[in-house]
Amino acid sequence: MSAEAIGIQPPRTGEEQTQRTWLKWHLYLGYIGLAIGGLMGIGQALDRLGIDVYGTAVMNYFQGLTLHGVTLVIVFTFTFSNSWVALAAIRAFDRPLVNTRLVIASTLLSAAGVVLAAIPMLLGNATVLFTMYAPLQASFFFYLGATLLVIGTWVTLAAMLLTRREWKADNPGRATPLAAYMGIVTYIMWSMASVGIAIEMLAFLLPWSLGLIDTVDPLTTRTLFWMSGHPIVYFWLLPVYISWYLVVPQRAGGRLFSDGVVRVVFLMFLLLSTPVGLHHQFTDPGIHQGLKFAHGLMTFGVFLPSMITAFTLMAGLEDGARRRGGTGLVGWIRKLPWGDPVATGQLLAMLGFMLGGISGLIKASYTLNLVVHNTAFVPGHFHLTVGTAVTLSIMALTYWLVPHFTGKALWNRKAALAQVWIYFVGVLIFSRGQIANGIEGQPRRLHASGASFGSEAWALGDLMTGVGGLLMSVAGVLFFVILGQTLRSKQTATLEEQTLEFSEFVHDDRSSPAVLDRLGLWTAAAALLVLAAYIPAFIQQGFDPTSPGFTFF
Amino acid sequence: MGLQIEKVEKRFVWATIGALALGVVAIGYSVTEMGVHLPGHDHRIDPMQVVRGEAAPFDEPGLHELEDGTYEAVIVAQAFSFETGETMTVEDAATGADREIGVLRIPRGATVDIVATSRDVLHGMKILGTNVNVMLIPGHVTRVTHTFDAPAELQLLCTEYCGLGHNQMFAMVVVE
Repeated sequence: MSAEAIGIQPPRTGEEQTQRTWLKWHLYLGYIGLAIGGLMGIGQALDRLGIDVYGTAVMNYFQGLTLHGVTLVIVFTFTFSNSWVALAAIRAFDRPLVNTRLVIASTLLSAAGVVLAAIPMLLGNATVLFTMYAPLQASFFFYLGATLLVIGTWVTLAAMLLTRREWKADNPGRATPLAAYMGIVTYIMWSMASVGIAIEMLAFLLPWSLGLIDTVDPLTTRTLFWMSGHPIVYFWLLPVYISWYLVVPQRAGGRLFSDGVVRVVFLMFLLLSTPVGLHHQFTDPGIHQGLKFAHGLMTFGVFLPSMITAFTLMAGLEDGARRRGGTGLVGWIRKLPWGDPVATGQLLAMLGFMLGGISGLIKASYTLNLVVHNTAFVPGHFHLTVGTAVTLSIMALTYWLVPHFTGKALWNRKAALAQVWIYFVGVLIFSRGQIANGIEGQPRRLHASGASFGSEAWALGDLMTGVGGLLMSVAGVLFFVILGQTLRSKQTATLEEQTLEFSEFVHDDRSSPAVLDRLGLWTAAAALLVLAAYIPAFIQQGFDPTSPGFTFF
Repeated sequence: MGLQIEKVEKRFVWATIGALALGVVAIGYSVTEMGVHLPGHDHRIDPMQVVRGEAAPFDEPGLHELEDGTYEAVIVAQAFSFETGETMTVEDAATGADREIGVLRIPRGATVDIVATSRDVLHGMKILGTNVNVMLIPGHVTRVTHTFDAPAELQLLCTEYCGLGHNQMFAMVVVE
């Protein structure tokens, strides 16, 4: 292993301290998103149990569902990533980012985006769900808020790329430090992929909602949305992968095998995340089956880096458990750090993600998808991915991040452990209910108490969804209790508690091929794949804006 | 130096590629041998003409028998109902009140070419218990074929959020 200091320690300079303060507030903004989105989720769980709070309360079910989706998968995930990935880059480069104004700008853009999008959602002027399909037309400010949230991520990338250039000048011939490499590749992938939603917003939805243009082409805007809407799932996931690779094996006492393999995994995500979006449109009219099949095939390809990740992490964890005295074919699992909420939450998140990945492969399967397309199977799947792999990992990482940012000791380690377990059990029950009902044909986005149709086959699944959802809600409340008590605490965290060590490698970055660090080359290759996947799609579907806007909410 | 990768991990990667390839073969089999097909590009249509009832075949929703003995079912979706040429009275599961909704009455064993579009926003159309599961997008014609083998009363549901009445939007398919 290299002699460099690895891991995240408390700050060293005033500039770094300033940046961390902004990153801290950026993270807290995400917790506000988590709180609002989670609160909406309680009402949805009750709905499945026959208690219709939305029928009587101040907002309707779909307004609540819009808030749930937008605050959780756009606000919470983006703000966490902007904070955590930048923090990891600061420590990896061992210097503050270039420059502080970009760090501040990213935080302010996110905050402005949240406020602008939240107001129309709360007023009921943007009940279009997080997919915002035209020609349902939301308030201009909703689209503007979403756009600013995306621009905030671009600014974070700019700050990291400038820092990398400066670091490269000071360290000629050396590979980008791994933690920064992972973050930068993730952000390049997303920034390229988000061009789709940027065009959707700037060319269509923003001028359309302002009245500058009268009509849009709903298939064009939908295709642009999914061009960003599939890779967005890797933008949720990869910041968490940084922690899975660099934090969890270390806390288990294990080493990873090869630095180069980790870099290859991230490059595979850069190449394969985006040219796959049409698999969300398998059942759409207007798109040739050959194009759908090609995107479906590429989606199978993007399964590979996650499978390599699963192998690499399990190997690293097993290495740690055996070094701590674990034995047997599976007996070593008992020697994983089950007393450490930061590690335990992420270990459980990994388990959930296995089911999430497999259910995703089912949906990516060209024909099999017909059974479950647009059914409850879909939320069943993504509550295991973004709702478990990502959310549970972020909650677990919070138990380190907040003591790190504030210097305050975690309030109650046992409560934190209970919190991650309750959430995990809850989400498994929830998703089991949703997946079963999806196979029985229950539509997603269902206001069960208000639906004019139904099937007796959905009763058990609804019960599981409701009970599981309430357990997740209990865990959510407990999370905020722990967070609040930690922030109020007068007990300071030890230096060890504030420090995050990164995993060691058997073969570190000196053994990795230099070509892996040529990010311009890989970005160009990824861009070519996106063009190859989408130019034929847009030419084939044509463009004919004939749809005016509708506000059926 | 070259990329360092564990020998077992290399085997694992090849096993994963093999499993994925097997999945692709199974999908190919389902298309060519089992005849499971997705909708593709049919043709574009002006949704405003559909609204005005000027765009064939959507000026005449309903089941039509064709000369070769097969059937065409024309369906027009709008917030928050499916127009199928005929209606029936059902009890609304949420309110308990009687309601008129669209119905398609299909002779048992009929192979039906379902042709559908939307007048306004995106809708979904899933016939429970079948593989008929498609999107309806204004400006486009969705076409899918299904053979209804056994007598049944099937719910045809809107599966894409289309506004506050989304969960009231359904029709019936009666195979008799």
